[in-house]
Amino acid sequence: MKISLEWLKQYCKFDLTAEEAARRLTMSGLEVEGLHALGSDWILTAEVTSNRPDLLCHIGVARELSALTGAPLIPPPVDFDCDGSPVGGLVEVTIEDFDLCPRYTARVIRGVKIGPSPAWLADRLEAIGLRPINNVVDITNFVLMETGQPLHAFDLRKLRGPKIVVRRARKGERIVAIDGSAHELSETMLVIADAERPVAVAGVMGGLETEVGDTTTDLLLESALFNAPNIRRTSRALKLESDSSYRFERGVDPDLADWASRRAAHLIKKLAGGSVAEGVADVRKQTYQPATVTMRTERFRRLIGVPVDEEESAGILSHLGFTVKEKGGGKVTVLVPSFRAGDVYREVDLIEEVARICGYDKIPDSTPMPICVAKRDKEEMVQGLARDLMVAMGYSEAVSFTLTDPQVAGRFAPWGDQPALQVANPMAQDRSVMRRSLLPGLLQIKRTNERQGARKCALFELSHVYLARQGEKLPEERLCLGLVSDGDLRDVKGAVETLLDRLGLLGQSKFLSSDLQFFDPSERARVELNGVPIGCLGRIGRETTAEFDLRTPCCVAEMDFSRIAASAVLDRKYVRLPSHPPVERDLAIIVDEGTTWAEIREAVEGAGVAFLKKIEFFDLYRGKPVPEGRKSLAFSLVFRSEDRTLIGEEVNKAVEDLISLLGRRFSAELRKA
Amino acid sequence: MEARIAAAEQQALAEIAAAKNAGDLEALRVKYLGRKGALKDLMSAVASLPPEERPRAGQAANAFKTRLSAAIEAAKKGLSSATDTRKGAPAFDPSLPGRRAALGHRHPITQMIDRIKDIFGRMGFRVAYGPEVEFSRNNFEALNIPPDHPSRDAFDTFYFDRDVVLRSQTSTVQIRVMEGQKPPVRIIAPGKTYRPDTVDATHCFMFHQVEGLYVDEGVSMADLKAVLTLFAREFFWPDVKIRFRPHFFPFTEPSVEVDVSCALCGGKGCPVCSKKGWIEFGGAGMVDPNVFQVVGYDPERYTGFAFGLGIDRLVMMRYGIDDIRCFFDNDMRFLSQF
Repeated sequence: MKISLEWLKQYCKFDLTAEEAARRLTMSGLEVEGLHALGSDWILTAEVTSNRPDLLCHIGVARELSALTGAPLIPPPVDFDCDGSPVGGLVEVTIEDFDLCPRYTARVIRGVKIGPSPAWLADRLEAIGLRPINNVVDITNFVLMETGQPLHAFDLRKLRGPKIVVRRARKGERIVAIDGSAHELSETMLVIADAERPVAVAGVMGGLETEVGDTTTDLLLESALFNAPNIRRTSRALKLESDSSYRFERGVDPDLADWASRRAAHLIKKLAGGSVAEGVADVRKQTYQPATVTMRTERFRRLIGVPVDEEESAGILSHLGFTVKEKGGGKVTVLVPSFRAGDVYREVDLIEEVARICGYDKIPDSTPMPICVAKRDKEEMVQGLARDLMVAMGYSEAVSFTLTDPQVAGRFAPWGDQPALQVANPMAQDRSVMRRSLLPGLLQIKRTNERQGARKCALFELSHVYLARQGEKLPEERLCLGLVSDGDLRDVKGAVETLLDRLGLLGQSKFLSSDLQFFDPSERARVELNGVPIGCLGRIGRETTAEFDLRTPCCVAEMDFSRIAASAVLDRKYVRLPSHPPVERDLAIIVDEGTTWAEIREAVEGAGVAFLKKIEFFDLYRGKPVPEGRKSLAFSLVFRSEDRTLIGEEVNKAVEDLISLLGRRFSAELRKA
Repeated sequence: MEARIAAAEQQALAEIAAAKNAGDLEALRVKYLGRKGALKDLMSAVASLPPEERPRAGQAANAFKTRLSAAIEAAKKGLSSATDTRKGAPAFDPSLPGRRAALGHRHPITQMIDRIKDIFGRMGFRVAYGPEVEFSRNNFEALNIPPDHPSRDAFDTFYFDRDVVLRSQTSTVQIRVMEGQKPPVRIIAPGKTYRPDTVDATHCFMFHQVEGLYVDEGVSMADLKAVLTLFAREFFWPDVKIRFRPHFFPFTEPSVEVDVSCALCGGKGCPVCSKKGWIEFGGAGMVDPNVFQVVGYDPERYTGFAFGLGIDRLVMMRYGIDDIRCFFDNDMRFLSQF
């Protein structure tokens, strides 16, 4: 909102430079974002928070400066002579819906001369970015910006009846607004109607037909109060807004309507002549009853951390427009003025008023706080460990968008078939569903990096996927670990194994065949932890590679990290070092393609070979001289006794037995060097 | 006899000195000290001397053996360190780069969240989490934001249906935590938040915030200032001050925006702080009693403070990053800078 400093000075003679005024206002709650000179004037651009609609006008801001400086507030003149004829005989005003319109006032001024506004008025409006139109319309805008009360002037001769009926629109009713836009009205919208049709969208904008123009001579001056949420809904529905609707939405002073109407009448008589009818048609159900609120100084001290006394508090509140009813015994009781009715209704609101004027700089910045232990939970720790490990293994961490393309999300569903959650008001179609897997985002990032010529792009992401749950409104937000590698599937599997091993889970994990569609059928696997599925890995298929526009099909993995973290074994137990040296033997055997390493390992481990401590794979070889359809698996065996040093001959027999066993079970042949 | 031994020794020592490799030395050892070597002949000669001359000659022979063994050993050692340098091979160039480990990089946002957790952790704040897909009630009504209210504009949301939204602030976690336990509460809650916002250099529809909440008997705004001052001094620069500017949030009363003094100009104004002397880094306030009412805490007995910091913005300030989109492009050239 734009504020003119010269204009402010009409209502309060504060002795501050523009910069000082801007600073004082900012430090007490009205943030002045910009300041520029305009001739001899200064224009402040301020951001008014939604709880302070009273600051959306010059008198409101002047009131703040009055409270800050002590200079008194000077209300503008509102007096004028009336011509004797009572307003009731000239127009009939009825409110049909008091919930949507608690109060409507109408004044009648006849015989006005419409013309351009005098320079002082045009300048005031232009200084704050408004365009002068004619004297009467300019006065309604001026009084709006002065007092915060939206006003509207109708050409009385164009009102049929003449009657004002404040009612809901009827089905099918239409109106053309003063900005030329045409609207179809709905029954939830409040209109100002005459005897026959709507003449204004209440609180939002007047109708074109009844607007004040060059030929107008008689005016009906509306000054009313409308239900804020309804104005907001109507404004949004019609995509129509104005300085008036802006203020009604935020809450206009419930007691201001008549005073602002008189102010406008005073100015109209001065600038456009005419005679003002006696009285005002003021329709309302109830008058404003100010709330009574008490503030305890002790409560202030407990909340703010700084003491204040009753004198000081009462002084501040009084300057802000609150009427002090009682002061003493550690309490101050006040009546809330109408222009703060929406915002101040409790003790804590008064505390804020006193505190912000006193200044938050008075609050000390070092107080002792009681010690308290903050527990680190296990998942936090395992997350930290996992990130360290991934970084150590050469993967860099990505943070990608959780909102994705529904087409893509549809194909990556490693965690179940529930449909992806769909946002009703997305910013773009390709960011309209919550992701069910981390992999698509990671593949997109890989592509971006490929295009940039990145030679190395190994990524991981440790973050959530969103899985809808039957019968529940909120999805499961499952923490997953996704990774995209530069290497082959054994590199990816190695990374997963390293992680599981470090977390003490490798022994309870199994890698099995998978049938997930987005992987290449010849290179994919799934992982189970204690029989529960915790992840999948594989090389992406040709289709997927093309879809993501990648140069080569890369290898990826995705794991259920919350399960991993929950099962992780972080404790260690010391095992005494062996006292006798081992005997090691390396073997390479040739077996059929279909024979898995697990079968070989299980056969060896299950054979009950004495002193065999460990069998460890180290090489897979295919090609000459190994026959086609067969492969060579090389592994090392470690033999050790707890109580003596083994000799080679003891071990040789065991090895020969193993070779025979493997030969029988798997047609394994020993591979000669 | 002694003369003969001395002559043999002189010759042997000369040959040892001239030996080029371990093989030569071994041959010399065999020649002089082996079973059929020179020493054997000398010992035989000593044995055939008259008895009164044998002890002295024998001693001389033994001394010869000792000295020769030592000379051969010494020569061997000298040769082995010499062979390592491979005579004629070029010396090591210490300026040649070594083979470095190919480490990955943690994302700068994660690094920042870790730092924030660490700083607040040392002040006794534990980490709490809440869902991103949240009930509209926890994002609005429970936080004292009524429906059809202009304050909702600031918290414009993505929604799934009438009751479920993508949270527009981490303050939703305040509700979850307080409804889940009795006071005292001392938590921080980092996480992703969402607002429909056109994406540009400083705005994105998905961003990261961290919420702080401390509720107990006797918590005041002075505690809020102290905690945020400690944080600012750890996070920004050691001598900074913070200041509160009155503002409005529906879920705190009083509400403030928090600025940190610019370290470069000490508050006078310079290009880093856009001449203001202060840099805004978050919002805060005392928990509104209406919120305590919703979660069932007695506002007469308990008071609390809450704060919210924009993490992405903090990271940008800390590292001088000028485009928020960098965080989500995840270009390796960006990630590897941190």
